[in-house]
Amino acid sequence: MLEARKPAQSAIQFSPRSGKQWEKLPPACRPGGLGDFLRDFGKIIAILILLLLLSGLESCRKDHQAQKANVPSPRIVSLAPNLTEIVFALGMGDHLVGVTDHCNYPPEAKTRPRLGGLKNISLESVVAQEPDVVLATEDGNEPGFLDQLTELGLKVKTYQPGNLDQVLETIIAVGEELGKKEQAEILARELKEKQADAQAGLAGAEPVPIFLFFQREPLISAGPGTFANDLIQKAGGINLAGDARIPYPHYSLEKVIEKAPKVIIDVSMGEVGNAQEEANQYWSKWPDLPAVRDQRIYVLDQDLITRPGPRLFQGLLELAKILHPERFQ
Amino acid sequence: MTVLNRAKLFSILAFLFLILFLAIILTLFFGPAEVSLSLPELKHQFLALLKSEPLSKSGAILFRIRLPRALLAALVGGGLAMAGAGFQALLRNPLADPYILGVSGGSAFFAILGMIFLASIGFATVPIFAFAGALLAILLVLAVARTEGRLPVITLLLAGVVVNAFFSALVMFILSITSTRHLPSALFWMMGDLSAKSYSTLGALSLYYVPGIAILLGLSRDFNLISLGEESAEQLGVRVERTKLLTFISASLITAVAVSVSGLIGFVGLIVPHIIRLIFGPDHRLLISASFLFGATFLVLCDLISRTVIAPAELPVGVITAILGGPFFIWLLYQSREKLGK
Repeated sequence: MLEARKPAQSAIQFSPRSGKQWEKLPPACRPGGLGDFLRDFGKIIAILILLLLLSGLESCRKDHQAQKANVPSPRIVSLAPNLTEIVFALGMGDHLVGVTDHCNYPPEAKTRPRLGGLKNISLESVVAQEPDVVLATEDGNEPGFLDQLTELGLKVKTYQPGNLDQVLETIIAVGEELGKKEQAEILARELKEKQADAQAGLAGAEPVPIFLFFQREPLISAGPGTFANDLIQKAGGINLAGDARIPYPHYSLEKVIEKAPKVIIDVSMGEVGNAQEEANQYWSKWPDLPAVRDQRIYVLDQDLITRPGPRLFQGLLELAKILHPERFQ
Repeated sequence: MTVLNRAKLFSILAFLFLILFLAIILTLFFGPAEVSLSLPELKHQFLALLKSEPLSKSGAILFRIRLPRALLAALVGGGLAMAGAGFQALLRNPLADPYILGVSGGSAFFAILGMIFLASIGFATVPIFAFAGALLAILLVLAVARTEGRLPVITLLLAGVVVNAFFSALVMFILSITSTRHLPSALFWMMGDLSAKSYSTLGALSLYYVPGIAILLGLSRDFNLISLGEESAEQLGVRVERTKLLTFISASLITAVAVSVSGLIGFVGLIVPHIIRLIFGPDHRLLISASFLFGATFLVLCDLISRTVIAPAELPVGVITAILGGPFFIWLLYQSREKLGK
């Protein structure tokens, strides 16, 4: 505002001695008259408005601090859905001050402040939450981003479980970090027992050939090195796509027909209601496939078999029940 | 410019057709799955297919997975190459390809919208969305580029490139806010995907192709004259503006149909017409139809590679067209420097 007024002033001062020039101007603009007063008045108003705004900001800050006080220490930011699940499973969900857009379980996780996706998290929104610890993964999050957080003085802890046992180790490590070692050990023991139960039930069972896919078009399956592949083997199945050389192969349809899976699991749909009908419809083109003939096409929540958190063990149990229903009656 | 006589023209086309036929037969017998059928069995399975009776496992793999896929590759490759030849003739620009005037961006944006936000309705929505998006982009380009009943090449090119860039930006926007769950489908679609389609899809595809292909073939003679310059062509009796408009619409429609079933397969539409031109000369009567046949052969063979090279996994066919097409084109260009320099 002040800047904009300068040219007008200099134009007036261009010929200060010519009194007639002043007379051409409206009275309110003449020097020393009402104009000056109004101009000063304007300044005062501007300053007042600025002060008001500042005080507003101040009260906002106080609100923020009040909110901060509501969340007990340690304040946790989780940058991966599996870590969010672990935090909740350890009873520390109330300490979460930031999660990703993908953190959808348990349902309360959706009520926590969202900081972005996995790869496009906003740096300043993490910092603004003033976390005591940031939990992250090596593969899911950008290493450069985590380095930046560390440089900004935040405590960043990364976890990268690669199999079921490492998931248990991660739970215990997170528990130690959050001061919940005891709960973590109890949880890990429970999950271990769940796995033992499932595998005891499967003792001596004939492995069942199964085709599991993440996407229909193109047909993307679970290759070696994925949690799904590991779970299928542990649940008494033979993963047909285990012979691919890449983790998430676009799998050849003719190879599926040739290998004739006895069970097909569709994890492509997410939360859609008519997923089962659609899966049946999709495979109905191949009525001679054993899985189609015996109506053993199943729909499963993708998160149960891909997210290395506590629910992976539930996924294991569900897979075992699908593959060997006779053993779990 | 050398103009081919009729006999030579037909013998070249017959030769290219034979090559295409052999390529399709070849792809039937290669694939990750083992297929062992004796000749009588093969015939029996083929007759069963025609009568839509149930097929054996090997028969199903041959005739319900590989054959429709090879035919799809042929139709898409042929269509893209022919549209590319049409665009190069229309814009008199060697860099023109079927996607240059906005079709790829428009169709990609709508296909991905369909993929992400309407996935629950079923995947059949994607081709319809892709086609609608392509049509929208075409109309937009046409509306912007048309001035006083004329279609100046320069405004057409600019309008097309800008519309394409705009839609591509929207695609990046959608992809950057979407959940990772949909990313593989979207990325595969953008690199081209020839996964098995039913025979009824193929039928519909060829039906939509017919008018565009017929118009381009009919205009081939005019392209020869337009290549001498629009004014000369006008004086020789070509209705240049009408030809340009028809070419734009028919080549775009062919591209839109191809894109709707297979995603964005790059390179075919750019290099195939050039290869034909370098080998057989620039006569458009040959160029347009030979581009279809050779484009079809090229994509059929690329698809064969894409589904066998890392079997049992598959590569997006667009990766193969680029990896094979690029060096081959460079080699051909190197060989023909003198011919082109004249």
